Amino acid sequence: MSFSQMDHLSNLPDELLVTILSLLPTHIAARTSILSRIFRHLWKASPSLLFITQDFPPPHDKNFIAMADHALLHRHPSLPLLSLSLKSPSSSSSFLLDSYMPSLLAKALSLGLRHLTIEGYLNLLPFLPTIFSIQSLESLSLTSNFHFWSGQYYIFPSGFKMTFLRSLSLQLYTVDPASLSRLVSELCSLEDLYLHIYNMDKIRLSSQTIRKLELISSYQKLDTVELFLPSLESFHMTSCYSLSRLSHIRGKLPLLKRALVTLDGVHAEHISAVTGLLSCISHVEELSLHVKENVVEIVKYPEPILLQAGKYMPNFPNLKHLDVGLFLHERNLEAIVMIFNNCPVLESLKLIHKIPEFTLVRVSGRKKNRARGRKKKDRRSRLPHNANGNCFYAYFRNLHLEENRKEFSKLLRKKCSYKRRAQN
Amino acid sequence: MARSSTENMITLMSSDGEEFMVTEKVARECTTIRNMLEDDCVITNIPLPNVTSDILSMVIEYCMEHVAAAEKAAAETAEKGSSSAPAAAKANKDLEEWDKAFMNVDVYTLCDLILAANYLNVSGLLDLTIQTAANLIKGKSPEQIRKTFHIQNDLSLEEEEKIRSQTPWAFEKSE
Repeated sequence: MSFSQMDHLSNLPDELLVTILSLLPTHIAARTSILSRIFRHLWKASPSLLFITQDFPPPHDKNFIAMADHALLHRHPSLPLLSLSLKSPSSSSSFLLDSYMPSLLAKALSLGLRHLTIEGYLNLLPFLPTIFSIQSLESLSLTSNFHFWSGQYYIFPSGFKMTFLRSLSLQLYTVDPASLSRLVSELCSLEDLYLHIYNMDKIRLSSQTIRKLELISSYQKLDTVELFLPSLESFHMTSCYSLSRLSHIRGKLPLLKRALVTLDGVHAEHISAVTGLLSCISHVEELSLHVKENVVEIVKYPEPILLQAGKYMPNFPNLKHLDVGLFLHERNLEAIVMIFNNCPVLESLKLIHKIPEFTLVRVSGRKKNRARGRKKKDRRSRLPHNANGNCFYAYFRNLHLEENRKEFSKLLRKKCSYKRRAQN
Repeated sequence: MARSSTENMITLMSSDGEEFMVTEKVARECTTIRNMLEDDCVITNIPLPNVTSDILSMVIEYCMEHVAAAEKAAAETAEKGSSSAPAAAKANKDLEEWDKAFMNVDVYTLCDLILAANYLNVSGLLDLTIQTAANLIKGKSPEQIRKTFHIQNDLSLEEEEKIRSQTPWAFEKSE
């Protein structure tokens, strides 16, 4: 055999081959058993099992069950199982997971499973007590796009002892808010929380241990967010649709270092929510705030969304780096100047002009053109020209140096001269 | 460059006797070498009898690229603030693209890189190469996998039939 024909793969140590196989769905890993003698039993040693209800040779059901039996239910107790992922990409094959889940979970429990991922179109409610009885779990991820027909919602069990669970990811429709709050406060080692919520109007999270939170809301009726997370260091918040009802954001996040907030479909009514959010995260060192406005009609000049009439801006005593994407009309630019004045240690400021979504009333003929012309004018950024000769973004650094700071406020004040003009 | 001359240089020697001069920072990407340096800080010449010069030069190329990317990100954080999330995302994507292009190698090189990454304990490179090998197995019939990796089938026909009948769910019916 020439050198180039040598089988380098089989020469790898078994532990490396097993690592390669552990990245594959179980039925594909098992396919390697007929490659050669070396591979014959190797796949069984993989510490990770990934069951996907699809891509089986027909008959699908029979083969899925046979695989689950062989790979998990008859797994030798001496082989550790670290990670189990159950995925059903299509709703038609989810029933397989549904009917088999109790026995799979019971076996996983007996093998001391550390990481569990369940993903698919299925009602996870009946399995929650078993899932939360797996005390060895270190990470848990539940994703389901199953909708309850009526009235029902996910209620998490309480009184369990999951002292190792550090990472939790939930993406479920219709969760009972009180039950979620209790769950989070009972998980005494939780550090990392990912929540994608669809059908909850209130979120209240209180935990001594969470350090990283990612909160994604795809629900228009979300109205209250309360966060009492004294250890939180990193916070991501994204709202995918309009925030039409969000009115209260409160919380205590004294150790927060980084925050990344992306809000969509914001309009003037949300000022109190946005300022509430800013007060909550006022201890940050790095803040990235991206707001896409939705301007329904331009009757008067656009309202600012970062400033609440009669209320003043919170102080940002630690903020060093600020990155804002916003519809930068005069009033909003003014709000930026106010934030800037409340950031004594700010070093860099990045401003990006975001063109808002205009919901325009349809008009015919010539009037339509006029409406377009107006639209263009109202989309204009009030930022000073940058080095590339446009006004879409601006970037200021070394603002902690007194001279830069002075120059910057002079420059932006000039741009927000609208108030003074009105007074004159 | 003025800066690199003040940095400690380490000589790595491949199994075929070729010498590679790298900065200590690049060498430290290999946990195995980092541990050696921590045990004995005056060491400047490290023989690596398990790694050939072709593979070692690739490992060094990988480490240099990743050190440069990390330095660039750190410099940007210091200068501009890491809050420029889009820029960080772009840098990550660029590095991913680079990794992808770097993995455009034949299976022998890939397997040797896995071994070297494991021996030198470069976790990023090990993850990358292992994932690449797994991707080469995905979506292939056993025959195609054997062909891809030049695996000699040393199982008898009866043994093969037995395995297929034990785990029918792993195999296409037509085979």
